[in-house]
Amino acid sequence: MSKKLTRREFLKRSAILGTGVAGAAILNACAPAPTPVPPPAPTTAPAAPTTVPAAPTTAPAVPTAVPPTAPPTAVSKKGGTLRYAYNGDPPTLDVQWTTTNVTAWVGLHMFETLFTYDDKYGPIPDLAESYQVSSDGLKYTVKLRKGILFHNGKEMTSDDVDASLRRWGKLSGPGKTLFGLLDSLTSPDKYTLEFKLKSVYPLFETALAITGGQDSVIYPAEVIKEAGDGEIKQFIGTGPYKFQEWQKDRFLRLTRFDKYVPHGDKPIGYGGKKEAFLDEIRYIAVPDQSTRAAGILSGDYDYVDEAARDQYDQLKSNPKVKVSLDQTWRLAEDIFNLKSPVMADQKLRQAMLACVNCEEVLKASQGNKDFYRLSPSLMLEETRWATKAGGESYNQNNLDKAKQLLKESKYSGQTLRWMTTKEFAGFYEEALAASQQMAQAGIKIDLQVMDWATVVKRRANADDWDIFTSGWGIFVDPMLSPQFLGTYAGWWQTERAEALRKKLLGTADFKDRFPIWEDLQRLWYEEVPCINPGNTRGYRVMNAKLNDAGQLTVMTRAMWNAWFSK
Amino acid sequence: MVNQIARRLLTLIPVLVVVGITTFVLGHLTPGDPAAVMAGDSATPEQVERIRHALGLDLPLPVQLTTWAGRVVQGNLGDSIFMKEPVGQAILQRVEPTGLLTLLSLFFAILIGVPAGIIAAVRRNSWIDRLAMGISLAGVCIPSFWLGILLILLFAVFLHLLPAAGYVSLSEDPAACLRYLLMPAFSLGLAHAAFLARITRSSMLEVLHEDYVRTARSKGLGKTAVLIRHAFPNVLVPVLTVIGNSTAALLSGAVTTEVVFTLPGIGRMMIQSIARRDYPVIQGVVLCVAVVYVLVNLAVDIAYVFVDPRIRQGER
Repeated sequence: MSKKLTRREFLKRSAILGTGVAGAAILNACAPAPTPVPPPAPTTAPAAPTTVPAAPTTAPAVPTAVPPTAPPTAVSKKGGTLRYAYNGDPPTLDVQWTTTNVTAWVGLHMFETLFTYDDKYGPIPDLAESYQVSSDGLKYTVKLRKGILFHNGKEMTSDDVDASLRRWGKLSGPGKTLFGLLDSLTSPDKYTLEFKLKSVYPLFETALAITGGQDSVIYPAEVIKEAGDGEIKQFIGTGPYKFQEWQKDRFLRLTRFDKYVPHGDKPIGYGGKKEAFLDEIRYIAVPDQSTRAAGILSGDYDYVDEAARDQYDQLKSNPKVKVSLDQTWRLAEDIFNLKSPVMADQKLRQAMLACVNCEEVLKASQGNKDFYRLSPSLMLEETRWATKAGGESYNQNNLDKAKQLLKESKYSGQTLRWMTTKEFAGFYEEALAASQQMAQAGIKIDLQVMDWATVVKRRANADDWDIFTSGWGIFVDPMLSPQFLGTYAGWWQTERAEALRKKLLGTADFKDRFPIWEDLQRLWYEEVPCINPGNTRGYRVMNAKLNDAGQLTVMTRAMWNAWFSK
Repeated sequence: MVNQIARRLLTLIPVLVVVGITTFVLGHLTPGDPAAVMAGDSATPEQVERIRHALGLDLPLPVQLTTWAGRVVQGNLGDSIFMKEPVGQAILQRVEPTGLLTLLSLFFAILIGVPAGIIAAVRRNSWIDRLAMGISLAGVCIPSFWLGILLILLFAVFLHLLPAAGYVSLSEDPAACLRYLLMPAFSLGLAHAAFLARITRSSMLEVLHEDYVRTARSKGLGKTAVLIRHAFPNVLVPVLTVIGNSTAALLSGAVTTEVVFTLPGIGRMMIQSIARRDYPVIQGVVLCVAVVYVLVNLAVDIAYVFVDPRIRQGER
């Protein structure tokens, strides 16, 4: 008689078997990981053919004389995969499609523009070889570099540049402005483009350079045609790295483009010679700041930016990693809604400005002194537009003056709605500190904390808010900033501001434009469309063996020229 | 039994209708605009409007709802605004990490929770009982993401035994997959073990006072035999209920754990989609979660039948 397997016996045997298998698996998993393979042996980078950019025959609007970036002193080495932990995937890799920064940070390794910037944010040719400007400033003749290959092996010609720029002209704000001023765009031959303008446009080179969002990158003409009215379907560019693979929420891989043609014989700011030493850049989405920091310490990542402020000291003292402060700053801002009935009162805004102790506000939002600096200049001090004009109204910290201005204003105790978010480091703390200072003068604030998507939605409606906290990266020209242009939420569109903007946009030379900008900044401090407590910055953490990585941190997180030492 | 199962499956239809409409309406009424998120901070209103038009977000809400509902009925959950892929495909890609995390978490939960509950009940009011219940209270109170960060510091940063975060697919490297899942599974499993321990203990205490247990002991059966053969089977019903709830919750995606450990699972996708207002993904995931809850509850009810002979005999 066969023995029937009872339920009890079956469960007992299953439990024993399952425990045994699980235990064996756990023991195997806890075994130390295999020793990582060291980067490959150093090789000398091949000498690439160089083309020195010819100086334009007419002095451009941006005369700068800048020493080139010093090349690495150690021997450069090819090889290695850079594991870059960032906050989250970009919404798209079509750089022309969106203004989000992270798209540009990644995309500018694959795509390039006609112009880029030197160390002082003066425009220099990149895909352009040279350019000439007619004496009346209405005609630009741009010569393209020859022999530039796309990642699909095709040579870049004026047809590709024409198609790319026309698409960009429809999609982006600066593009619409430029094409609105264009009389014609023609290609006399396959390496030349002629732009004829209806009026002088001082931002020509700047608009066609990288801006860190929705840049005029060059795609193959057939990719543009295939895209139609939507996003591009293939990520093909001329950059030192090419698209390899993207698994959403896991990683995005770029690999070296072996047929990349560098420009010149040394790096210059964001341009010059870009070399792809790394075999691969692997972007890994790691939303949690603590996990990013732990990952770099455990050796799972090689580069992390936007690490938590409170881990700075701990990371600085760890010999396995290198910590460096961002070289470029951001402008902290609390923007007023000039369409709001209560905020339309200039005396009230001046009173609010008088309240603010900028040092305290920045300390509250950033903590460590390394992460903030006081500065009255609305254009960052690293640019040639920096000025102290109107700066006597900056950081007044004068409660008596504030109360006096409040008496002169029409403010009668209304509660002001101040939107902020905890999604970006320091925004909430900045708003909290500033609003508390204003409360001492008798100004009532309702601090409304929400996620950024809600802030973006609500700020588009002038009835929904009075103040919101934001921050800006660098703009190389004030007229590239939507805020100084008056088109950004807040709507600083007073008559005097509009008049100065028009003057600034209609003047070609920097030496003539700078005094106009100073007047506009003085007007800013007089009309107070916004309070700018000062500048803030973050820091980056990287593998101690990684060199020259991410030093250009404004328009991109440049990993070209980055390399691993042994 | 078959009829009951069929009836339960039919209840899915009204559940999905209500859940689907509620999620759609709540999502679209919540402030935030995926087009603005996609266009970026410097975008002009015209640029945002262009993207809204391209995505069909400028159509009236009833039109968007009926279009989406019509697709769902045909098995099409739509396309993710940000990931540019079908929502169904995006969910399927993330089922593996979430599914494996669920299994491993349940393993830890049952391995720790059930024995702890039994021992605490048997040694009631002893130091073992107090220790077990103290640890279970800590497990309930300690946020799993905080525990996760501590585990990362200990095992990844200091001891270098396990990777800090990330995921490798089971098909690529099973051992590496397990290594990546150990810490998140343990931190999640501990929280669920805490609940399980408490339920097991309180159920076991009730059962240990029953007449049939006293009878078994008085007949001369050993304590262990009484515990395992007579007491524990009667505790299985409430324990299975808790395991079922835990399974459904875990399969819906353990959001904070997946974010801290950077697991490409359903929970992390959901939280990112909410932040980005990726409506198709939010709606699709919520529908799938509703299905999961119904199916898991059905599975638990079926399990009751096998576990409790009274239910089987009641059917006959």
